[in-house]
Amino acid sequence: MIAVNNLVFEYPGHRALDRVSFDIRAGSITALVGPNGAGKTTLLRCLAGLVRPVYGEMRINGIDVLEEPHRAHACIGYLSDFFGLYDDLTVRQCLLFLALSHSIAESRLDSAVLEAASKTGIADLMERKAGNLSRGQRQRLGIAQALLHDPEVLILDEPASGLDPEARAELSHLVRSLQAAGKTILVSSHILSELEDYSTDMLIIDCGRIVEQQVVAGSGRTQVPVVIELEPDAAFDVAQLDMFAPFQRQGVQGLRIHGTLEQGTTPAALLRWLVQQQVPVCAFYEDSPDMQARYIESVQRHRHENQPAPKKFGLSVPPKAGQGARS
Amino acid sequence: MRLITRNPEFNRNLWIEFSGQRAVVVPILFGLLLWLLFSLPDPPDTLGPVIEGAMLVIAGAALWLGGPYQIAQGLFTEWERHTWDIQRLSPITPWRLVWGKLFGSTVFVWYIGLCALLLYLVLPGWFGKHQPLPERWLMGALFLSTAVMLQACAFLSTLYSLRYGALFARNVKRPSVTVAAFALLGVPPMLRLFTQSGEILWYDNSYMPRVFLLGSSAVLSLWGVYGCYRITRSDFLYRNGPLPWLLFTVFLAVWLAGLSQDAPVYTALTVSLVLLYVTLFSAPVDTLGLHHTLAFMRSGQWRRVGETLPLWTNTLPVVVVLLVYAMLASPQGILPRSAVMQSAVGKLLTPGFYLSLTGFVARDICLLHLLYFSQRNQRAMGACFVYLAVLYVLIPSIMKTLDVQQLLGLFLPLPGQSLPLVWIEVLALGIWARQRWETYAAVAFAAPE
Repeated sequence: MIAVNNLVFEYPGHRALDRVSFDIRAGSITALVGPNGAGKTTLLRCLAGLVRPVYGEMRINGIDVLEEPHRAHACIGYLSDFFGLYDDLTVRQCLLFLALSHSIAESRLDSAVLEAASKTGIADLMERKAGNLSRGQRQRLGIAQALLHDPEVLILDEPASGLDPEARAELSHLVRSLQAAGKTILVSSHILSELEDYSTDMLIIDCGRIVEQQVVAGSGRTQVPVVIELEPDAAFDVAQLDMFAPFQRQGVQGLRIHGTLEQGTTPAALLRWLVQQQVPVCAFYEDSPDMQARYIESVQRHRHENQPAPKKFGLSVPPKAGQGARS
Repeated sequence: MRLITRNPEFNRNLWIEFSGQRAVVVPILFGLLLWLLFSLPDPPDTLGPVIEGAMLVIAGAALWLGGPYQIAQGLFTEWERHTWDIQRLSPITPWRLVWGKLFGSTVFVWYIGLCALLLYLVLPGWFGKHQPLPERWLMGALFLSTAVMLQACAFLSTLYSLRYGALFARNVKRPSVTVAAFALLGVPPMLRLFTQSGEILWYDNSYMPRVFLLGSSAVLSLWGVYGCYRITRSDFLYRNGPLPWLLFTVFLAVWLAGLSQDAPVYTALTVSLVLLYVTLFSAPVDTLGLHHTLAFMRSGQWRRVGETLPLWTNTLPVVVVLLVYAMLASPQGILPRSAVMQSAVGKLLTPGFYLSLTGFVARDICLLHLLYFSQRNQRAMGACFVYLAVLYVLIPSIMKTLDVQQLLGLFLPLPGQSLPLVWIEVLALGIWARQRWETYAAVAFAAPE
């Protein structure tokens, strides 16, 4: 759904994005994570066609964002980290204004406005001015604005920043419901706990480079890591586990056996087999480190592998012959 | 909720700027003002001019000051609250946005201004001494066309400064500063023209000042609105060709040259040079844009080259044509000479002087680009101004003090001291700028591995 290839973006004297490439599958919720200043907002603004990169190609739903920005905009709903609201307008007026901007037919205006408000749970705030809404309500209005033209892709930049726990839980529910409605969602944040609940994929960015892309949940995962804990003092040959073909042993730590299950095999199937084989299991669980652990591990590994630190201006690679520019 | 128009931007502004209360309050206030005027102990024959004056002051304050302020404020707020990006992402067309903003954000001041102008047209007729009705109609039309012109200028200057973050952007971004600049620079000459007696000569045709001003402001307001459309198009990621700016440069040069009876070519040359320097120094050099332009040139995509060229390059052909014409019309030239050319000063304007002038222009262009092609170019514009001040002001002042004025021609394009030696500077700076660009582009625009 989103394909980015070799994206390079320069601010004066600083390379904000450096050879960024990734693909995002349709229907996923991808968490774009990275420290402050890693290039998350720049990447999202590039994807939305709001700023022009030095190099690279970006396609959203097959549309070249740089060549056909207006066609691409029709597929994109974008929520900036400032939400982009007209404080002097009521919620209804904000939505009506955007609906008119998107040339929604007059007969459908009211229903489109109501539908977007209902989806985001602000239908009871229609006559309130945007400037008088709480941060959580403003964020919902921002998402409602982004949803008005029924885009296939939603790009949310730091949507949960500054929200209270209740509003974050509501956001999490809202994002999941949008995914269920078939949207592909790319959401950035540097607060990982808020992304943990709903992300299916994680894209880690550091110093303008993509460090790693992981599938963290859902049908996109190719392998499910699991841990089998054996009873103490039980006599058991771990090689017996190899009889269950979809299970791949990764290692043994004391009584714990780490391994992975191939896609299509559920942990329940392995557990049933273990019981049938009378393996002395006292505990069995998915071995999924939380997002924060994965993130820290990836970033530290990347920084270790890329010493010295990723380049700033003046330490770049020389140009390759035959590679042209684009705008 | 009722929609007045299908223009979302106009509706949005209408919701914010206009209300039933405002619609009622304005006539009430006008009524009170008139009641106050009627209750003055003056005889009726002086009341007409008083009402005329009062209504024009109100209309001027609303349309000439309030309008530009509202537009500058509206754009500034959009930028500050990040709603401009929402506009850019929506499929609203640049044209709809421009007219929606131009007449939407100013809807209330237009209401006040039009009420004042209506009273100006209607009321004085009831009070003895007053201007004849055609005069009042002319004045009313003049107010309207100049209002559109000033409001379009406010739109252009605010969006341009917000977008390019030019040297003076920090100040221009503040709407009150924009309006103060308008009030100081624009309104006094306009008022002088409004009240000027006699006739205006334009290409040997004489016009009443107000008629000339009406025609000029009407044409300039069309250009202004079109300029708003063009800059909005560009900001909304549409591609703009180079021709309209070139045509505007020609128009402005030709229009202003018509006011100069003695030396229209020099006026046109001065106008085009001013436009060249304004476009050159009002925005940072877009190195990424230049990189793309060169790439398009290499791949023979000439249409894209035209779309990515900076504004100053679209002004350059007019400057070059006028310089060549001026050279040919100089005392040693081949074209017939005007009266000015035969004057004492005119005789000093030799082809060497124009060659020297061209060299100074080229030198300044090279210097600006040289500074921007540095890897630390954040303050390139400021540095360029400092260098130019040293070259054009400080060194010549020192030379005058030391009485070595025979070398002044090295630093200033002076008539009679035609030293095309500046071309050596141009050559050196040009080569240096090219080398710097190659180094800069190799680093800043390095192709990905």
